[in-house]
Amino acid sequence: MSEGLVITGVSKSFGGVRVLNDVSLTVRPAMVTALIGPNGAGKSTLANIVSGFERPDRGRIEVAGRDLTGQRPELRASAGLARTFQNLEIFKGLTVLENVMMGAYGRGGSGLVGALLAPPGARREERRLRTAARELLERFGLADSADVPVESLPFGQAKLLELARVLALDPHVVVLDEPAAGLPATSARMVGEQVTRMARAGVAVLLIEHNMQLVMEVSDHIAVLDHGELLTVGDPAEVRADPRVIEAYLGEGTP
Amino acid sequence: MGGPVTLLLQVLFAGLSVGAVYALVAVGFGVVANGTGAVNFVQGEFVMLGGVMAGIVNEWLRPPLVVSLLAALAVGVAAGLLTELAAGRFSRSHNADVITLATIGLTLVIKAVVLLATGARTYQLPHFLGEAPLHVAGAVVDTQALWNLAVVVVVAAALSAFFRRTRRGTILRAAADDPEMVASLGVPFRTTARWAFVLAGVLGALAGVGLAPLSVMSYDSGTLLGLKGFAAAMLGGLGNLYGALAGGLLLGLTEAVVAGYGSATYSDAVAFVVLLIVLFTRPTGLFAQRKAVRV
Amino acid sequence: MAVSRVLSPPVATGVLLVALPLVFVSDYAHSVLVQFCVMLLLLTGLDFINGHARMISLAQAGLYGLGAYTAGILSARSILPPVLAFVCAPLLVTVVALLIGSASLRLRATYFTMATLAAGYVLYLLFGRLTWLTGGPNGLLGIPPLGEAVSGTTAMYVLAAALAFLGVLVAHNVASSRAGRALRALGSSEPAAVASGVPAYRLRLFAFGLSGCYAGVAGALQTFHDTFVSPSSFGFFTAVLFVVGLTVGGAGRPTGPLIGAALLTGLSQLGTEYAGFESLIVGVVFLVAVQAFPDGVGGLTARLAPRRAR
Repeated sequence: MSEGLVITGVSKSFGGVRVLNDVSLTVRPAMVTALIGPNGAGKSTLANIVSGFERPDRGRIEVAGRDLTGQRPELRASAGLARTFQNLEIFKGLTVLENVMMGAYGRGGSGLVGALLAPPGARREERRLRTAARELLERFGLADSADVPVESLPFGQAKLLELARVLALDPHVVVLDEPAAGLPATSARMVGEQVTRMARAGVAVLLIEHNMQLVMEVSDHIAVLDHGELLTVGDPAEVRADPRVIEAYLGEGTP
Repeated sequence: MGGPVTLLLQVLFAGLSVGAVYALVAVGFGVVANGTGAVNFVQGEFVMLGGVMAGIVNEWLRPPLVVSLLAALAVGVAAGLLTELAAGRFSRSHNADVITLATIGLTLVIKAVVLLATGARTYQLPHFLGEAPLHVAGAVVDTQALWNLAVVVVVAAALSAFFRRTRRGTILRAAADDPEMVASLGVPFRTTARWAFVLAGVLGALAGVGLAPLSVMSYDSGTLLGLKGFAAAMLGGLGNLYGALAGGLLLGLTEAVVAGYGSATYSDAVAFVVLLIVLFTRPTGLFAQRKAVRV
Repeated sequence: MAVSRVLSPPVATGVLLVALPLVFVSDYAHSVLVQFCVMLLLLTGLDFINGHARMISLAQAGLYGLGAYTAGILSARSILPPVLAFVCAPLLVTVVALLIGSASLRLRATYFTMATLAAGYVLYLLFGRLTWLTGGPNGLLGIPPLGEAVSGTTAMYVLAAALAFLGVLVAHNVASSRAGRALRALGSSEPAAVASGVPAYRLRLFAFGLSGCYAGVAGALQTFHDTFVSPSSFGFFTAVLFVVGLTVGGAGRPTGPLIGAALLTGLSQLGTEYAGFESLIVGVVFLVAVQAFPDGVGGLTARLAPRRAR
């Protein structure tokens, strides 16, 4: 199993409080693996550990066969891992198109010297990047807003833009942190369509979500996290019927 | 008793005297940092305002020194309130970085106002404990040193009790590091900020009054003082009360040593070199108060 | 959008730099225009770190002074011919900037600002205290003219304008490049930038080094224009003035440095450097600018939750 995302035995404590306890999970290519759980279960921490923003106390993170544990988050992109953020991190001050172009940064390109001198090779590369980014925007229905400052995008489109950005990397693995949060049903469905399409193209998708309808619709596997422990992993039907899962969500609303 | 011991004692007292002033300034920085998360660039100007105000009142009215002191403290309170108003009130998010940036601009405004009002005049206060210097083991010691040190001890004790025993004090101490806790207590950010700046203003004014007998005060005195006080605060650990005291005294002593045994021309650079060393090697300071000074 | 493409910063700058001396023809006017070019270089350089990367540096005045003194000392003491001294200044300042930056950029934003303040101030103190090297508070005299070709105010202006234009052109290249975009992304949302693979520290160091290079050129230019250097132009007030000028002109915006340079040059013509009213106006304008423009300076310093929590 050398493809996709492999999380092995990850544990993490913050100031004496154990937030994740020996969590192991495999996210296979061409599949959507959802990570659900009540608030405070540790989902965001796991997302941060996978993407390098936090270090695990114990355990391993492997992407496409490479051990990335403990590496700085900047190196995730070139390893083929992209992520979105729960709080919608977009690049204000850049245009919509430039936001998508940034997604491709991890694929390499001209460096500092090229920045100063603007040689023809760098300019050609820019044009190619621009074209590819525009195509991505078309796919998400955002092509008309390409040259608009990103701050003027309505919330739903901005969420889609984050998805476009991660795709610009042409990643092996994608970690989506609540991509449908705060979205009305129609927009959430669009997100779902794009997630499905991503997976069909071969990407290993780790989907962290609270929107149960979306999770049930697009996931191939569902992993349930509660108080830092992995309760169960299974297909949607199994998980839905699992009494432990229902109990974990008591007070949160049933899945 | 010979030259070297005398010199040492003189250097020691000079260092402690000025160090006490730095300590007060450092505490001021700490209070604002703990209360709002911001670095208060106008802390030095609070010192200047206190010293200049006391000097003006002393010159015009020749009252008992207590009156000048009270005038200085009043100015400190006013300056603190105005700073919170100008730097914090109008920003949309009560963002520490914006407040810090605003205080940078505010230093220009305060200096300009004082310059226009006083015309670059210098002021000085008479020594609080009498003009005659003390003779300690052959060393000539400025009595102001004793006053300043006494003030610092009293202030430290008072603040320690305030931070630990009162509700307001506890909030002030923790606000920047635990804003949710403060919010859950129903205390709005602006109130905390106001208290922090007023306290900082009072501390600064006290420092200014303590410094005025030692050196002349004018519109320009604030910048260097503020920066040195900040260096002292960082040395001790920004926000830590004992750290501020230790940092201030240490810095004062180091400066005095450099001036006394080395060359006076470089003594001003000491604070900056100390600051750079602290920032680059142990940015949380001797008593490690602030978390995450490093990226 | 289309307008900004035609009036890109290099074009706008080029037009101004050619037109202005033709409109204002006196020697005095050309001298002022040299000041404008120096200011433009300083603010364009500062914009990389303050505007694009959104880390407030207060070291630019000190680095400017370092450039000025390097050019001055090397030529006045006949260590190097004036032209080589001119070239050496930005080289030295860039190295020093990289040194300062390599340590300071390990710190979070506000502490970075304090570190640059301290570094800049140490430089300023050294200018005034190392009398045997710098001439002390009274300044450095005996700086030879740059050369036959650049004698005379107008000729000096041509050089200044050429350098300023080159500076703006390079800045434009950087801004439109992959690295420049990454720098702005970093200044906008560090988590998303880092997740996209942007090497935060290295890119900020690049920006800071560039700001030093520009400051070095500006300093050397100033020295050979004045044939005199003194510490008074390189202190705390000037450092703040640069930040203020750039902020009001529009930090991170394409024509920001240009507008800021115009403002600062105009301001310097109004009175002596530390006159109370100038200080007051500058301070008040800055206060307002810092808080009133949400995406200008407000956005400049707003740090989003994920970063603070770390």
